[in-house]
Amino acid sequence: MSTQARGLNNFISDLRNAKSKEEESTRVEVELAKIRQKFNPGDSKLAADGSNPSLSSYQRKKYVWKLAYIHVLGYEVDFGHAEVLSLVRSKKFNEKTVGYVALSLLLRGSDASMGSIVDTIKADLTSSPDPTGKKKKGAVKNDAVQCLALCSLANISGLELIQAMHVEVQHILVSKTSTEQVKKKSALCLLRLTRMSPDLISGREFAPHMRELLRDQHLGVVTSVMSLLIGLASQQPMSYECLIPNVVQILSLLVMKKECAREYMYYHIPSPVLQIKLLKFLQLYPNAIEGHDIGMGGNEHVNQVINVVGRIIFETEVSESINKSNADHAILFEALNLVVVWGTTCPAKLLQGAMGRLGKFISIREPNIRYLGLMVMAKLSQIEGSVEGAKKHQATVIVSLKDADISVRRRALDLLFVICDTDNAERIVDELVAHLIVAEANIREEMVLKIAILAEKYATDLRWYVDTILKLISISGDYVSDSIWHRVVQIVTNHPQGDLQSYAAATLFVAVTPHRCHETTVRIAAYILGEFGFLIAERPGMSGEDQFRVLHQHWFIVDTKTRVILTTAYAKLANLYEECRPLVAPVFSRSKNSSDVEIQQRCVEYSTMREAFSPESIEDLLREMPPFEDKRRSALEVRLMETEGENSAAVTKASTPSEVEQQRALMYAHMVSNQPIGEEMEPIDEEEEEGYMVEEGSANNSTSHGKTRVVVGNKPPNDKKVEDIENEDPNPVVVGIPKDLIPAMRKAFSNLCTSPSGVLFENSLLQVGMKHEYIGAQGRISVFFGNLHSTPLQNFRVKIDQPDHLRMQMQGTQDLLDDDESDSFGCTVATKTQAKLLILVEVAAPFVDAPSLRITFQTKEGEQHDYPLRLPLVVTCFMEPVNLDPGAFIQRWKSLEGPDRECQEVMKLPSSASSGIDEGYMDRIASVVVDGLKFGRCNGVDPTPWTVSGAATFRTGAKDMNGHNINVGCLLRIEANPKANAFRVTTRTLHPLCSQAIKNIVLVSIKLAS
Amino acid sequence: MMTDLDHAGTIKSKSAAAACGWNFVVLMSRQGKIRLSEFFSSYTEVQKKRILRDIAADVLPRQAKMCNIIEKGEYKFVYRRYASLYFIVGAPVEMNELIVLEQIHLFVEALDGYFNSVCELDLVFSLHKSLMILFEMFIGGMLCESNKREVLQQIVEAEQMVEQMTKPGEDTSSQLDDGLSFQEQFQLGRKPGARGPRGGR
Repeated sequence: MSTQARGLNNFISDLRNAKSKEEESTRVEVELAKIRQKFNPGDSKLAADGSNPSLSSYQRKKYVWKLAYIHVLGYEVDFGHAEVLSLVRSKKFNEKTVGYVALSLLLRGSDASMGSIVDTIKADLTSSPDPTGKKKKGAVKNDAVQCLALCSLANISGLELIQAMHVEVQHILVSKTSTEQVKKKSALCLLRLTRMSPDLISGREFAPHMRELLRDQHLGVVTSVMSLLIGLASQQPMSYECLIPNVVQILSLLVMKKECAREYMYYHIPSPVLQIKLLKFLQLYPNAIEGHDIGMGGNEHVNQVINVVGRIIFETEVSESINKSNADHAILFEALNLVVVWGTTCPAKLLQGAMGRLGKFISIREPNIRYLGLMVMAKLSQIEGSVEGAKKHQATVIVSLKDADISVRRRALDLLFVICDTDNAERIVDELVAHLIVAEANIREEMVLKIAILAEKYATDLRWYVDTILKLISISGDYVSDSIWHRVVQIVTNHPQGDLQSYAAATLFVAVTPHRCHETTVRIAAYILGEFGFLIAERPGMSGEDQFRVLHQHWFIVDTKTRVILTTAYAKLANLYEECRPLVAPVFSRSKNSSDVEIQQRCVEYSTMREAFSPESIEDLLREMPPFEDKRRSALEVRLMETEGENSAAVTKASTPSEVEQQRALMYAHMVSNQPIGEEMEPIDEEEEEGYMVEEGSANNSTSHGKTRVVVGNKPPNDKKVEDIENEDPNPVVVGIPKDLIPAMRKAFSNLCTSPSGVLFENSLLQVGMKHEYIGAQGRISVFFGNLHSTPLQNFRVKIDQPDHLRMQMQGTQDLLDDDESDSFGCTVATKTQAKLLILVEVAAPFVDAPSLRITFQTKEGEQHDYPLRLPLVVTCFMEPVNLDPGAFIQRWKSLEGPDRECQEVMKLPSSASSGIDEGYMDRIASVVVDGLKFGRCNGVDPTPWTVSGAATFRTGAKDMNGHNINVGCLLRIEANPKANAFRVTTRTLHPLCSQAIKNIVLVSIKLAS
Repeated sequence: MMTDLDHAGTIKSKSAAAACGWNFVVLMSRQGKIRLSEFFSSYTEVQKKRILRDIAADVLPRQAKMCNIIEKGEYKFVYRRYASLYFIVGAPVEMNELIVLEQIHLFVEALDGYFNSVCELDLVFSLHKSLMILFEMFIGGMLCESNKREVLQQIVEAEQMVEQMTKPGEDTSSQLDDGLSFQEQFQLGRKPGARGPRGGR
């Protein structure tokens, strides 16, 4: 091997012949040393710019090329800047060319020497083209120099350079005299500059220039300008929104008319690069086609772009040729991305077409298309109503989960994660767990995390969740992070209902019994047995002593972190079981001298506790932990966000609570407020009309009652009423509500349930009117009490019960309110005047009975009046309509099957009461459902006039554990049987009370509509 | 994952669609030798080394039937193999992968047109030519011209200008190719794009 390199060629040959990486780098070092010596020999004087003037042009170029070569092979080159710059400064085109290429490669914008070259680059940028347009022999073609400078500037783009140059670059971009070459390059160069330093360009001023540039005849210029436009518009979307029609126009010409210069056809496709840029630009405007179906079609480009996207999605023909196929699919995927961005504003036909196309993509063999198909399908599935389409492909996706290619597997995992819901969670999670056994290390962590999230999110039975996590630990324990097992503990602690806690204790007892098990299992078991071990202590072989033994067998092989948890578990066991104390005591006394401070401290404290404190204090100290109050984002979601970035499909999915989670949150809310749920309701009794509305006298015993009194046709026992009133009021002369008023009152109440204002009560003395309006979980109710009598009403008081599920704020005429605290006797309402009451209310949980409103007053004549009424504040006041398409309705309907969720009642109309069920009646019912009950009508599932179906969301102001507002989805179906003169009302919600309450109100409303 | 890109840091924070150019391109032989590398975004030397190592570890062992995309967090490798040479592009996550594949192919077609059936040896010995074609086609990593005839036209014109500048009797090609002495094979000024595209995926 020659050590004396002659020319670059020899040098390259040497490198090629190098036997090893070391030999190659040694050779490079030798060459670098030589070049350094040539550039600065030490004896001769350097020029002012630091270059060596004694080098010939030939030599300088040669050595600079060598440096570039070395750099491109991946070696660091940190000298020679002066020589590069002197080449750039050269007037000779050949030297300049070499100089600029080397500048792009070797220097960065941040290099100190950059300052000295600014003027040269600026001069080259602005060198105006030869006005005669003729090429003179020997003369440098000016746009070539401009192009060199632009290209270099784009590649190095340091902040200083940007400041100095951006004005020039903008200028030559819009200049009429710039050649096409220069325009193309300056557009991209400007894009680079604005990306480094946004706000260089004011969108409003620049948009007209962009419009002009988009009209350029040269497709290359248009392509570059589109790149720039995307860059600018993503920084200031509003400023460039006006260009949408122009962009749509260009796209339309390419796609619909295939108008494109021949040299830009790529495998018979009109400039795919440009098409993609146009589609990308449109993705910046998610609302661009909003309202296309309700007469906004007047904007011609809206229909045009929908047609173009439709053409791409439905009519792109895929060919075998790899390059054509890639280009075709590139456009297709970009169009699909646009559909994803449009989301629900997109015509249903396109959404379905998109899903159909993707379904094909994910089942073909070509790996790139399959990979991208899985990716885009995951995005599309997140659009409301689209996940069902994706779920059909579940089996196909599972096949890809087993692909040899990690990229494909990742995408399949992601998609499965996104389409997972209560229906298919068990299947998908089991499939993932099964695959985890054979999965390689690099995807395991991600899988474990996602399985844990899904199992938590969609477990209809939390025992299954506990089982799943234990499986994860046994298969892949090292990847189960602390946050996962902490979550198990949290969930078990927070769900005392059912047998979850004893199940968890028993399961972990079994899991920790073998001598070899994963340390994480030991940790969970120690915690859970410490807390809930007592629940299983009666079972054979699981006594406190046994629990201690199975845990303690691991003591010597686990690390200190686990021992700390074990110590506390032991203390709790010893506290509960006499027989454990002699077993635990020696462990504590041995570990009092542990080198670990935490263990030492715990052992000392636990063993001296008995002497130091009273038995009660010890009980307190070692009591089970209270429920965790965790309003933060789950630690698992945080982890997911770290690995996938905030905007990934998976993160959005993980942070939206599932229906099961919402239900659990509701249970939790109930548990916290100690309100029993699922009370039985007394059936509606058609015969007993009389007792309606007249509640037992005392207002404060309605919700605290074990049995909930329902407003609708629920007659309270009469004797109780008398008794209550007697207890409360010593005055024997009390006038209640006359019986003959009751049917009218019932009607007034029902009416007000579904209308925003009206009269609640009226007799010869008093008129109670009200107005109420609601937004989401909050309402504003005004009640007016008008004196119709000829004399003032004295001691006028109003008492409203405030159940836990309603948070109320009240404000009214002074002394009107009876709040149990003030000892006023109420106010006086003069004749022909009104007392007023304003109630602000927020609902926290579903409820069945309307809050009571009790009015008491005295007439001048000394008559005591006492009217127990009810506020027409019912669960449907807090509904928000949901408009579902038929498929989604039926799917949700099915998913809400079950005795706890469904409530059904058949109501036969009294033959005398109405003229029978006709279509007019059904129309009235439908309008009450929509306008009064605030349900979204789902017409698609009502093929005949004899059914009415609707959906709504019950909004509450209560928060779940993660701080989201709790909402309950409600579905309603009314079926009429005109022959039998009967209705069947079915409601399905996640919450039993909600189902019942809605059903009751619907029944009343139906009767009212007759 | 690239956590502390100095300049690229500003790029990655930009909106999804903004990123439409390559972050870097590397040509690597099956044996792991680098034939060309250009980093359009600013990376530190350490980051560059890391990327080159990742390419060798992630891309080279992949089987032909696998997909041509590997996710790497902030960016992804999109690669194409021609004979024994891999063209690996680092593309932003939002970029259309298939069009990157076709952009690689355009670059290869341009090289093919210039070298008249390009082979790995051409790239090794005429690296400067490849670089000039690369810079002509990609400005700051963004495709500037998809019409390869126009690209080659520009290159040829530049060469002619150099030619015209040289005094009679001088070795014409040497002005650009000083000491590179492989020039006889380049046949300067011949019609570009004479050959069609070559196979490979």
